[in-house]
Amino acid sequence: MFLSRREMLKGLGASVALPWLEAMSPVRKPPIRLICIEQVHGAAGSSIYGAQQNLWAPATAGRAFDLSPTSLKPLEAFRDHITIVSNCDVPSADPTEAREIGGDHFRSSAAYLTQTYPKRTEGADVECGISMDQLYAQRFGQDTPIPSMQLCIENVDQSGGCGYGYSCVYTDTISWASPTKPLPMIRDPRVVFDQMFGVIGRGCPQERRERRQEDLSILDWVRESSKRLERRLGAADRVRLTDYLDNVREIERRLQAVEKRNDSGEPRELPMAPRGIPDSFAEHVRLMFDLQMLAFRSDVTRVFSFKLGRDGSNRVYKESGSTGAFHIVSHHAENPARVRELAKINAYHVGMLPYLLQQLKETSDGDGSMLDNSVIIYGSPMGNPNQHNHKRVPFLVAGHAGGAVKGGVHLKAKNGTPLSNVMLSLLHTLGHDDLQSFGDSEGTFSWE
Amino acid sequence: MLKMITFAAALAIAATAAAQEKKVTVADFAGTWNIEVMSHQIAMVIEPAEGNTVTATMMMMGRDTLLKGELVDKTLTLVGVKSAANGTMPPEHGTPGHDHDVPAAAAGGGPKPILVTLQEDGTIAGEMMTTQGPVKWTGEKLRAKKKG
Repeated sequence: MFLSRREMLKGLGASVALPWLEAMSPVRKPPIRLICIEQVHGAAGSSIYGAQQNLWAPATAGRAFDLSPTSLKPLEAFRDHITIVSNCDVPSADPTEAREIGGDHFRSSAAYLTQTYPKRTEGADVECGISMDQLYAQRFGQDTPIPSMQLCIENVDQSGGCGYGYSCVYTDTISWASPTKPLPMIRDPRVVFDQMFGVIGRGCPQERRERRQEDLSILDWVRESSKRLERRLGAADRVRLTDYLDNVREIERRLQAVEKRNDSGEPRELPMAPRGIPDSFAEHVRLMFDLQMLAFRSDVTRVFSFKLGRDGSNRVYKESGSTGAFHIVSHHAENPARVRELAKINAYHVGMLPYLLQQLKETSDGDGSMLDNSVIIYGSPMGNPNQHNHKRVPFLVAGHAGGAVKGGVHLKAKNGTPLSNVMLSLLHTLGHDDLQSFGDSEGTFSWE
Repeated sequence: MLKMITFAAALAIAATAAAQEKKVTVADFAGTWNIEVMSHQIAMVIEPAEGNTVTATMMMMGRDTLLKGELVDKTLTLVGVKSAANGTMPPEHGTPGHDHDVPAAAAGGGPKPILVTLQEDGTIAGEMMTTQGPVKWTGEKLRAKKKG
């Protein structure tokens, strides 16, 4: 029996894409999945003191790097799968004239994946550049039901101008489908889930509400379809399918638990957040990572961008060991103790990654793991947040890009290297061999 | 004798070098500066005027403060220009809309002038009055770059 990769479980108001099954042979070369993550507002290790103390980049370039003093310590178990690229700048986020000085928060995120200077405007005539996730999605994401998805953790529903004459759009998204088309990011995991499983737009709102209120699962809607498929599958595929559907159900249960908790009337840490959003940063990030894994396993999409916060956020990350508000801590005044406090928050944010990397590593994909066949970029367009500069920005790549990126190395760029050079070379490894330049790139970057 | 001549020549060269030490002029301060004060960035545009004097505009969060100044002994001293009529206003209070303390320069009519000196590396440094007392600051010249 042969199953199409596009086969789905279908029911009234929902459709569930399938994981890879043997019945979908012949096996082809696994696609490269891409996740682009923004750690907002730079890193402690980008300050002079932080760089001297190796709070972000390790002291040694090459393969014998030591992560222990750095905020990257949580990635030790994945050192063979990571490539740390240090000492790069993002000049496209720098001010170009007097009126732009001080407005770095309002340019930074827009410049991250586009490496392009955002036009200063509060109107609808916003202009930046196409982002690398979208370049990839437009060429390699067309075989999936959704070419790409854009996720975030903090609110992105501002409108008008956010400051210094810049539209809020520049701070609300890191993904640009074209220089004039910023893509909205989704904060609510429930919305992500519904988009992935085709619930949105199918069935009326009343039906969707009722289904949620009754604690029904999306799997109840596709049960018949699932039973029919199971009868056609071999034993190994039946196990795969069951595991996968259990995973879908597990995530759905967690979404329902969050909604139930937030509907309980108990005081919330994020009182203004929609009911589907966990108050806990870690819980929110993990849910978003689980949804990304689900999307990769079912091949719903192969491209994600993911914004972990906002530059100006004063969220407190208690689990990091810092009790200070993020933005206040980020303005450390170059005081060593305060720089180190920011480093704790950076390490906490980086510490979210292993949850994703472990799942990717444990998921078989072709002859290797999904981590072998993925590229996860993690970085920031800001360098030293205290100075709002864009020098020595934090950046790393996890995954082997199907073998194109070997990993296990710290590459220190020459002074003044624009991050766009690194992104251009990364795009080359992702299959955009014909790309001559990207953003403000001046050349390519060697992965050796 | 030869040693004495060599020594004298060396002294003469050193003296000439000292004499030729770059004279600081208002032109050295001219341009757009990105000033960091209390972890905030402020724009300062300085333009040479007559003789050793300059005019300057300090820009912060959309507010402009007009300044004038004079260079004396390598230090440029800027004071506020009271000109409510032309729309400028002295920044005597914190900037609204931001979430922590910000500098409030004493330029506009405040008692303390802003002192600016040129550093060896081409940056400028100075001191200004804020709501939290006098603070030191540094400034880097904005580099021209291609947009888009």
